[in-house]
Amino acid sequence: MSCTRLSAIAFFCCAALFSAAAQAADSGPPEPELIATLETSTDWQARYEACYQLRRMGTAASVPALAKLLNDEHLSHMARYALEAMDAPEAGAALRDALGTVDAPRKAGIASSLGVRRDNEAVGALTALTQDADAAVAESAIAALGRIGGPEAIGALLSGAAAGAHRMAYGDALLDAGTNSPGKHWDLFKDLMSNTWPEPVRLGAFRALAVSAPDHSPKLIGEVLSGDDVRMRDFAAQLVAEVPGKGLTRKYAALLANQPSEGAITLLRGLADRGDAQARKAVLELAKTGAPEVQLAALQTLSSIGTAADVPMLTARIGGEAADQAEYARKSLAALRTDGVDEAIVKASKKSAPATRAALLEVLAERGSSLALPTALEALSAKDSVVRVAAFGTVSQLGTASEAEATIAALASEDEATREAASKALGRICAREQAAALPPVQTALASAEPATAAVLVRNLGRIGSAEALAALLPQVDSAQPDVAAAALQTLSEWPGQEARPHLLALAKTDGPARESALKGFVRLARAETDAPAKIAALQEAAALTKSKQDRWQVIAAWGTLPDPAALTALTADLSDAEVGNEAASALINIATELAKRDEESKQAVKAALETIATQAESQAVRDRAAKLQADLG
Amino acid sequence: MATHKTSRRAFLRGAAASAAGAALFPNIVRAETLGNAQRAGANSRLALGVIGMGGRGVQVMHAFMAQPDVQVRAVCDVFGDRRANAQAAVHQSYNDTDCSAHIDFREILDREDIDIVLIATGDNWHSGVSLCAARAGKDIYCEKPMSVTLTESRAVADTMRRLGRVYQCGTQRRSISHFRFAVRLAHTGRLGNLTELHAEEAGAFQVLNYDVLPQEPQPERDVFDWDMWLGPAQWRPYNVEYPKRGYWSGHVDFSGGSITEWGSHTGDICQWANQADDTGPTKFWQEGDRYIGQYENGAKLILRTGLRFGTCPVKIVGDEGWVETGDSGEIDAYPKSLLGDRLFEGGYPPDNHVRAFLDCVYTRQEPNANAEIAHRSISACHVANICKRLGREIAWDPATETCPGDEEANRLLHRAYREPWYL
Repeated sequence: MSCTRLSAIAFFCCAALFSAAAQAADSGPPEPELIATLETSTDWQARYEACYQLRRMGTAASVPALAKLLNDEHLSHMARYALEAMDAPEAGAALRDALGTVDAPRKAGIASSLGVRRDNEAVGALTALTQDADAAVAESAIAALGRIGGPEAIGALLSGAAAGAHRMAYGDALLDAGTNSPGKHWDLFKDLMSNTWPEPVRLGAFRALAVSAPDHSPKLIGEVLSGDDVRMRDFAAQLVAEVPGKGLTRKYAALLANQPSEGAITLLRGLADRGDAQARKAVLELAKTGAPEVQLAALQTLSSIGTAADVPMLTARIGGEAADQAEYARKSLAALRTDGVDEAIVKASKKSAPATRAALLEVLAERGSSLALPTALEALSAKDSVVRVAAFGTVSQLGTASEAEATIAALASEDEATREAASKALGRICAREQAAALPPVQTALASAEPATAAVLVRNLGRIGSAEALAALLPQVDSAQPDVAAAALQTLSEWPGQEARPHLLALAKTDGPARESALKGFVRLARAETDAPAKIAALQEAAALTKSKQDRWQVIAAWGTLPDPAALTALTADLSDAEVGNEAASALINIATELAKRDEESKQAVKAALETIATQAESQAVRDRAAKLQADLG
Repeated sequence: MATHKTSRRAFLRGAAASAAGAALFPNIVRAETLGNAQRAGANSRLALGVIGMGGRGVQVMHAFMAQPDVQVRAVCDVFGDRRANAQAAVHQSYNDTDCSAHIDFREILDREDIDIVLIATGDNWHSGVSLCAARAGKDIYCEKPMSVTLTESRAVADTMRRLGRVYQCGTQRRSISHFRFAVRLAHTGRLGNLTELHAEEAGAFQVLNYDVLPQEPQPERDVFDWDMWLGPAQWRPYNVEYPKRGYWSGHVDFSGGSITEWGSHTGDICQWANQADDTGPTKFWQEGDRYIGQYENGAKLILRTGLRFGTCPVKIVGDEGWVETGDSGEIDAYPKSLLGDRLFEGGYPPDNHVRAFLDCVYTRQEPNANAEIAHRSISACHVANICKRLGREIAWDPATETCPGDEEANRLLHRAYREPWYL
């Protein structure tokens, strides 16, 4: 039976087991039985599990039994676990009744449950608890009053807060009550914004006031922006972003006119996050007339509220002398999201100076625009090198096999920058399109000048197909030295094992190709996944080595194969002055894995490690071997 | 209440922008300048308390420590050895002895000199500690999943909003380039109308269990504080198995199992791609080993296994194309031209996400994985889990955050907190 099939069976068994387990816990005895357990059992676990089930399905019928547990150290919570979940008014009554009788820790829990249930009838009792000497009880009761809300709870909270203790808890509760109770609570929120409250409460009140009275929020935000409190000013920007309401954007934007630089930048950030184009006019004004840093912020804001109409202005900034303005304008242009922006960029690019035109081509590509590639193709024949280079940059990112011919033609350009850009673009097209890119490359190769032919030959390797290899092989014998060298390099770097026989043939020659070919052969052998084939290849390679560099490569490849054949080969080299250290390192690499194979291998590994530990030239290698010996035991 | 709820949608508007925009706005002179190459002076660094020193906590703590404007001043863990090791690591890193070590996280929250906290406790505590930290006036980076039940994360989101806290959930793939690129393809219409959003969960073998284990001798508090480890969960006698991650991560009382383990990441990316950060699917059902949620726009969220590209992969499918990516950094798409020339690095480091959080601590903007966004994402996971537990279709109303007319399901949305903890 295959591993896949076994895994599938195991999976379905576990899934069935899971289903059984889930249903066992989410189903159980009927309620009367659970109630009986609560009333008669003294076993903690039985009562725990009964409460667990009653949370899922308990009714008013189980309330009396649950109520009796409310003062139990380990079961009070479980009783609340069930009571909190019930809509039945009896559950609330039981919780309220228990408040006067339970110990302090249990009071905190019951107060919390009454808050979760938003039990208005508990306000009086909870108010009394807010004065409890136990801080946990007091704060739980305060929070509960906040959740319940309503005039009585708010009144109780305000009275309690006046004493000065638990200030944050009271503030939070008042915000909770004010936000969730019917009616307007502006005076409450205004009070909570005063400096007598902790900062989180003030921030929360600021938000509550702005959101509950949006029409008044511009005035409020304007006052805060003019104030000294940096955190409140920053928070004002967040509120500008989030307070909903038609017409508000223009009012917020109108605040820009009177702001010092820091306030303007803060406000611009909020308008950017708000993302409403109603602020555009005011922002554009600042982009023109503001202090330098404000102009930058205004340009940044346009990224979220700008339109196609802003493309000419942003283009002009890109082409301007101020590098920081150019950067911000470029980023905004890349981010504009409204209709017609791409078309406007294309139009602007045709009228722009070369450097700007090049930048606009890059922006189109960055935008992922469908116009990016066609516009770049038009620019391939531009007069200016900087434009052509940018155009090839787009072709590099987005080009297909259809663009290969035009790119190849540019390899013969007189301009070096264009040739380099075209070469890079062709490389990316070939890597991406692979077999589809072969025909234009082959066609061009038939008649290319040597420099171009060398580039084309390198790209056969990026294509990597069997047909590309067939096209490459004759080039190894090219009469043109550059072409032959490129072909040999490409062959030695070939991605697939199909190149190995050809590399082996070259490695057996005595010519200049031998060394590169052997290197390539060993590289492929190293990547071979079939162990016997890998062993055979490395043994062939070993027989062809002539220099220590050759031997190092083969040794390193043996060091990736935890096999007795590797151990034999590496052990034979341990005492060799030229390569002994490398052989030792490679052997150590495979030692652990090889030792797991069987006892015979383990003993062979240990013997080899002993040799290394005593004889290797490098101390570090000797130490590694000794440690590994100790680990193997 | 209507005003509060309807403003949530607007509240989210800034979050998507802030991740990229916060650092681009020119900085006027501030003591707490962002992202300086040089280390900020000791007094102007943000003081960080780290709560939870397991593997993830240590890893994210180091991401914080790599920031020039953060100083770890306190560590906390219920395990004595983790506490000591973390403190020693901080001391070695700073070459001082200024970091305090605590069993009880409230001691850290009580300190006025602590500005921000990193919460990396077990899942059971994520919401509870976040609430306490907010009430203590701290800004919070909290590991995922945000909660064990839905009402907990709703309470966290409401509290963060109410107290003006900056909260970043540790769903850091929102700050990682290949996931951002995939979502951008969806948002710019390159995939057409979205039809399916595939979110890998952590594996169907992680069975949710409900066991109560036999009692064993409880360690001394200094070695391991059992009561504090339990936190808001139901009390039970100590057993050595509970605190092991391999155990509690499959237990209903401490975790949401395989769906929240990865779904909090992958479902989150899918929510984002579907521009559903303020809502969720409206019904869930099971098909084979998959849990499906359907959005109002017709797209389906599919919690499943078997996607490519390492851990936490997603696949976003539209009627004109699709994109698939994962933590390996590999990405595939149809048509291939959608990818252009892009190459991405693998991995899921939290560093960009941490930086986005810190920037928002200064600017008070909403981070890209803020509490409301994270709550909506984990809500989808919780409702999917309810579908799994009850073995039937579940209807879900994202506006009221209830299962309409389904009391059995609604009761599973919430758990009472054990005293003295409260929602």
